[in-house]
Amino acid sequence: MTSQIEVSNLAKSFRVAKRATGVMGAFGSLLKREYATRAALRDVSFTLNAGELVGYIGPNGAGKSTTVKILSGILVPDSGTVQALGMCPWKQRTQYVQRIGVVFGQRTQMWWDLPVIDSFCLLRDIYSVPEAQFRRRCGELTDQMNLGAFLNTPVRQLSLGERMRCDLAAALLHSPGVLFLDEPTIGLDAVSKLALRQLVKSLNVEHGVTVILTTHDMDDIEALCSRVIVIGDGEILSDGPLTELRHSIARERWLTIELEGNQLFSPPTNTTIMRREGNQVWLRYDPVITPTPLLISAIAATNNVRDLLVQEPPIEEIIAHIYQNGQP
Amino acid sequence: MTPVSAVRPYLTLLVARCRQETQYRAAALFGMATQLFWGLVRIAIFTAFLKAGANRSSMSLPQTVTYIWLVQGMIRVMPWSVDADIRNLVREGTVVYELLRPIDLYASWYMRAFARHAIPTVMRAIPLFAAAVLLFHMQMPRTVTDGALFVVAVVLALLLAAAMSTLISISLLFTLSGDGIQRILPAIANFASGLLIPLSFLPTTLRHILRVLPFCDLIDTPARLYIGQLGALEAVAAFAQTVIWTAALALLGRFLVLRASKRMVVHGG
Repeated sequence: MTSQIEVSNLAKSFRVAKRATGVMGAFGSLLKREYATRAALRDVSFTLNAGELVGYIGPNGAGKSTTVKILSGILVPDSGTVQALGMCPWKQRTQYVQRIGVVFGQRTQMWWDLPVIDSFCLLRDIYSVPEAQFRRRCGELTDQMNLGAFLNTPVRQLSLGERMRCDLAAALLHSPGVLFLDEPTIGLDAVSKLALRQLVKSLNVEHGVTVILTTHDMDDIEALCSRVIVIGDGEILSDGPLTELRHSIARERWLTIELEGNQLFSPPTNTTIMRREGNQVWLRYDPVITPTPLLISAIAATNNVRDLLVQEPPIEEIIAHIYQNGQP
Repeated sequence: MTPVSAVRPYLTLLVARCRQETQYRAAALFGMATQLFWGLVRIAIFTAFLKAGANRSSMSLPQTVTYIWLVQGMIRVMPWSVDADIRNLVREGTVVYELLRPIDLYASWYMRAFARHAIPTVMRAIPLFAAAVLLFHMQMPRTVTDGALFVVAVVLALLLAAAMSTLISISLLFTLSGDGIQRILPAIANFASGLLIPLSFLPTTLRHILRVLPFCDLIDTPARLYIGQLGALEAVAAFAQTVIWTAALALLGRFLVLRASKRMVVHGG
């Protein structure tokens, strides 16, 4: 596989005006402004291959959006290089953006007053998409995203989910090879989320579009991404397949035990009770120290058990763990 | 890319914006009523002033009346205000999408500005001139040439106004609010363009200074061509001046866009 996007040693810091509080402070800042420098990215490097679908996650303010903005050519980093589609995004911006698609979940690129289809036609001309290709593409996207019902509705009258689907379609009209999605499912209901995920998945699988997805929704990540890059405080904390991420932190497993009646339960050695509610007990253990079959037979031997369930901790737990500790 | 397909995105944006502007027909109608009212008030003032024998300018009373109607009709040429749409784009950060399009930011904002001045001007000027000619002593141009030169001058004025307007929009990338410009610029432009007082009524030195600045080409130059105050050679010189100012402001605008896009920061997700 060929690498499509190569990011090396990216750093970017912002200057934030510091204002002293109170009346004296307000006068003071008229005379002398103080600025604080905040590093948004410290040293970020990674390589993406063509056709990858990568989740880019991190807590608020970690530098996710900054990275996406740099990668899409609208922000110039302080240092570091990016080679994407054989170009430097911010130096060859107009040429580069012709070949990428970007969706910012919190903003819309549609024209507020115009019907959806008019926005699409404007984008057709802006991206110089040939008429025949535009018609075919627009038809495909309308079918896949179920846009038919409101193609002639002005954008300002759409619901958030409808608008989001239109925005995604708008970003795809010129058939970009790379797609940046910055929190595309924010604020969407379950149905819209599923539709969006399905579309992203099929774009990736059927058309080989490389997708970079930032999100706070771990279900997005589990449903879509084979690879996850975790960023915290401007640095990459972890980069690899989702399964590897899971195992690196948490060899931990959870065992839910349903007892017959409200009997006494004492945890076996090397396990801890997380919670108990009536006749249900949640245990946490390390399967390397305490192999699951042995644990189960030990519990079954000493207790009256109705049901057992072994689980991996939910991905949220794992991510929260990384965010808090700074590393897996 | 062929030249035609290279220009197409900008034409599309221009047409879209023009269509948007034509939606504001009621605004144009009531705007015209306002301009008619103020036109009559200003004519009363100037008539009193000129009949008192204070006229040392080169303009007669009928010419002055016509000049005032021209001003009233062309009021929307003036680059007074910040484009509210662009201000919202900048304040909300949606301006990122403007940068994500494979087109030249300056050119697309210029197109927008041109439509924003041209369409309201046409929508107001034509009915207002018709009413003023029929009812309120506005003269027709003396010759066809004067009329044609006036039309050319208005087109050039609109191109110049769009360059100024775009510059204001670009300043938003640096100041974010545009409130300062919105207060200062009208005061300067109204005076320097001849909108408040025809420049011919001003003292010689001041008049000479103002006629070198770009603002006079927005109102004063077209109006003087209409009332036949400029010879052929002067007309060509005035056009050349308009074109040079437009080019200079456009170059400055392009330079600022380049600088802004290097230092622009859009905060937040």
